[in-house]
Amino acid sequence: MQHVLEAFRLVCDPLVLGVVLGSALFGLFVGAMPGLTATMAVALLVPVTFNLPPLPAIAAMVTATAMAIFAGDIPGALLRIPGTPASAAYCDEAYAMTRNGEAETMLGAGLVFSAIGGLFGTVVLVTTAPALAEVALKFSSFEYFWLVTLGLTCAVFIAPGRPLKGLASLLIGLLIATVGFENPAAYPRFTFGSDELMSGFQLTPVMIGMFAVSEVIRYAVTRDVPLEVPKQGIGRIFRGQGALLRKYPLAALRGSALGTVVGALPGAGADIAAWISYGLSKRFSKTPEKYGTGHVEGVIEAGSANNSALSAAWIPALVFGVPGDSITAIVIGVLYLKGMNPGPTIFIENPQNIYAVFIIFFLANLLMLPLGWMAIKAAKNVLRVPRNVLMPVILLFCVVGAFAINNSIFDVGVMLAFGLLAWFMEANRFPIAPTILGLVLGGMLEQNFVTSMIKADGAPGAFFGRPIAGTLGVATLLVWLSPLALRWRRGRRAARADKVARVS
Amino acid sequence: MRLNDTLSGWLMLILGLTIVACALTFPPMPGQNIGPALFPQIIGGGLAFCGVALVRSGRRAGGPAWVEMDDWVGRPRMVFNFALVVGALVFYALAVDTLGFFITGFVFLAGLFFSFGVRRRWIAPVAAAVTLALHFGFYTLLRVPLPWGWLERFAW
Amino acid sequence: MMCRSFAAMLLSWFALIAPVAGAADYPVRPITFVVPWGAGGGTDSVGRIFALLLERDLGKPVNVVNRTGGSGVVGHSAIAGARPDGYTIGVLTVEIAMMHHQGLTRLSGASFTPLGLINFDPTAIQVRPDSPYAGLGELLNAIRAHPGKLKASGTAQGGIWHVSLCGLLHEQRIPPGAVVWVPSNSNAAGLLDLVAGGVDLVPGSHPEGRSLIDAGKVKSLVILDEKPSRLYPNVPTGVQAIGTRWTMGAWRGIGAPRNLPKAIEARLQAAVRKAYESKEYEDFMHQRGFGLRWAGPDEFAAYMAKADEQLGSVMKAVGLAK
Repeated sequence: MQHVLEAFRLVCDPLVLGVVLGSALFGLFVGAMPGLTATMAVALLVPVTFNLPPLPAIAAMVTATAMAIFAGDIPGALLRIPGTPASAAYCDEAYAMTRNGEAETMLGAGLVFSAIGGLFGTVVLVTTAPALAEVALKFSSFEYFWLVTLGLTCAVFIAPGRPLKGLASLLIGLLIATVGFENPAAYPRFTFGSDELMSGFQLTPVMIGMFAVSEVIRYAVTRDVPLEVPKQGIGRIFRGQGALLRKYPLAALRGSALGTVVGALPGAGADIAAWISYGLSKRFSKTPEKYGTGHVEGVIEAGSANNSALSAAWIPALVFGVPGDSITAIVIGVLYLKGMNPGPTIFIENPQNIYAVFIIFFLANLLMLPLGWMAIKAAKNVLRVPRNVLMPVILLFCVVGAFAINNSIFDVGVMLAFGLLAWFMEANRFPIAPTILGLVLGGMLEQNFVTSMIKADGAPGAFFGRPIAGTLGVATLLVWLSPLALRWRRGRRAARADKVARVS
Repeated sequence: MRLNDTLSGWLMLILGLTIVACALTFPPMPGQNIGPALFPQIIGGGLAFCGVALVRSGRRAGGPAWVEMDDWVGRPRMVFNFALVVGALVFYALAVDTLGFFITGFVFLAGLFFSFGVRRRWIAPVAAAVTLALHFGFYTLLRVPLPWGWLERFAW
Repeated sequence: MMCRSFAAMLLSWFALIAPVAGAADYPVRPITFVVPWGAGGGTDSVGRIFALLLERDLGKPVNVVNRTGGSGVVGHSAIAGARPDGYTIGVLTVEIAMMHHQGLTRLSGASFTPLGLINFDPTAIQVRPDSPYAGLGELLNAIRAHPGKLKASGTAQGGIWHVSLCGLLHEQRIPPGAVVWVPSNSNAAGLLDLVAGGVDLVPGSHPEGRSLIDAGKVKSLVILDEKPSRLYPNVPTGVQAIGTRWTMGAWRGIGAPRNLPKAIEARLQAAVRKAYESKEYEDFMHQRGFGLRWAGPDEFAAYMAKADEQLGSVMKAVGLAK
């Protein structure tokens, strides 16, 4: 208790509070810029932290990343450009809500449930970090293989329209993921001798191209068809959020819990958490048919999942110095520099410091509400800009964003190519979300499958041979088989009814 | 542009088979029981399967035409807009290293504004302001090295 | 109309007042500092502190740019292919001496203007604390007795730690295929697999294994270097364990494109040396547990050539080279 009081005293330092505020604004800015991820926000903060004492240095990183992951929702909802990959899963849903005139509800839900997810993850971090970290360390390639397979299964749920076209779209994404040299065999595939293709296709330019550039092209060719976004005020974004929480408590809880678990795993982060929880949300929803038309439920679930994953990634980072994602990889380096060496002893040696970090987590997620509200207020002006001015500006934003991820003009070309591909696919009713999902998970799928097979000396039984892997495997198979079983039962019932009808 | 399902099915079948054929040339990796060829082969096979299924369902549904152009294709203005968006991106990619971000960005925006019918007197000031703002945000604040090109000697 | 006159005005204005910058007042604008690996890794953190120190000396921003992919091919090509005007420099890593043997690029250490070697981390071998091998000798005996049974991980197929392990086995006259290599994306991922029970040993550097060694989840068996490591002085060296002086490891240096103007080259050499010798750099490297090693431009060139030959001969011997 004495340590907690001491921790509060540490946090109430004006320097700490000033740093928290400054890095919050910085994080909001970076997150809302396409092409710059939350990881980039932290990397840019590193030189700043060299000159700061330990606690403000950590506080800057905690706050900036939490804000950045939320802020990624804003351009996703208003312009169909996911600000960070973690917002890509529900970008289309959010944009559809804006076009229905519900930008206010969407952004409010994004904000409130991001904060809820972040707080949930923090509570887990504070209460059960050591125990959960032990479990996370039990995950090896066999377990990750099933996790990725479960994630891919979601493609079938998230794709509106015909499952066949969803599958084709997923396969295209997986195909894109095979390009390059970074595969288990380290053999350059489909690179056509290009150095740039050695690294394969980066997620960010592909994502910006498929979502935003395709939208600009669509605007350009249908310009005389009035594409009116309904007039909408964004003022009271918090109105109705209480009702949403009462209506979808389960979605918020499931999203937060799933995000926490996925985030705590060293091999998976906020992006994957958002995809899986959006897919599961639709799978378990009472109204799955509304998904894709601008329905808030999936946004609630995935929006809380990506923020809770962010907090939970600190669990293995603090307890074992094992990065839960690329953000905590940087954070661990800074922890060492500041003499707060991560490891089981961090809770014993400087308890007041670690409690102070926890308080910063709560503070950051609460501060998100007023600052996020301000950011939304500022961003909403975007909707007032005439579209013939807005669209070219978006396009230039996309170009600079695609360039920024790797400082390469090649990525601008990649963005254009995938913009055209997505535009063509959508015109032919192929959903594009599964393609992005395939690209996100394709590399992990192959890596974990191939390394598992090497470890098992080629015996596929090993995929069920470990307790967690076996459980996950059976769960995945159940998720796969249950729609088939349902259809079969429904078919039989229909046949029986048919027979009864004929007899009578 | 909408393709008949049968046609997209055939295209997908060809793509899938090409990938499988390419993957057959990948060598196995000593010490690994699964070579680099397996995943592309599965994916190629999957695409081929989807292709066949699409061809079948397309045949069943029957379709008037192989390729159905959207109605904008008939209007030269819209075709021009389409070419313009693509052309603007190509122009940016080719020119930015030589001309630098300021000139390229300005021309890029001004050109698109002009053909999207933004009022003339707004074009230059808005294009210049947006270019400057983007440069400030990405180059100055976020340290993204946007190229200077011709203006290199003024670089800050 | 207005647009045209505006642009014309701008251009004429620029043409009139343009100052001419030469090598004498270098640098006059920000320098791009290419790191060929992603944000968050060891090369990135060393690169970022080094860029900060260079910035302090050169007086202009030195901006870190991560050009990732292809095991470093993309980033190294970006440095080698940049205009040799001193405004693009970057980190060279051990991979530059390996990739061309695999036929992935034509670049080698000789494709750059070397500015200085700034870090070296020798190979150490990590196992689980409950592993039955008390020392390197026992581990090697087990590998000899049951070829193909033990599995190792810690980097991609053909990465430095893979080559390093093969080199050790080769030197000890054990066929390199006697340990099965499980490719992983990073040393951390390999160590996690070790902890989770997926593999039996992980070669890698001490700073990479540090957090899990400190947490008691991983044990370091040996460090293949002449002197003990600064982080874990109790871990036996190769000589102490089995009497081998064989060593190999990961290193990082600073390089620029070839044909740098002499004045700029001298300015950068001085700046790199000063940054290396600064107290901040030493403190940083000690805090993070990275090994300090210096070689000036000429020695660095010779060092790269020697590493190239050593790595190449191992890779050829074990069939990793084309």
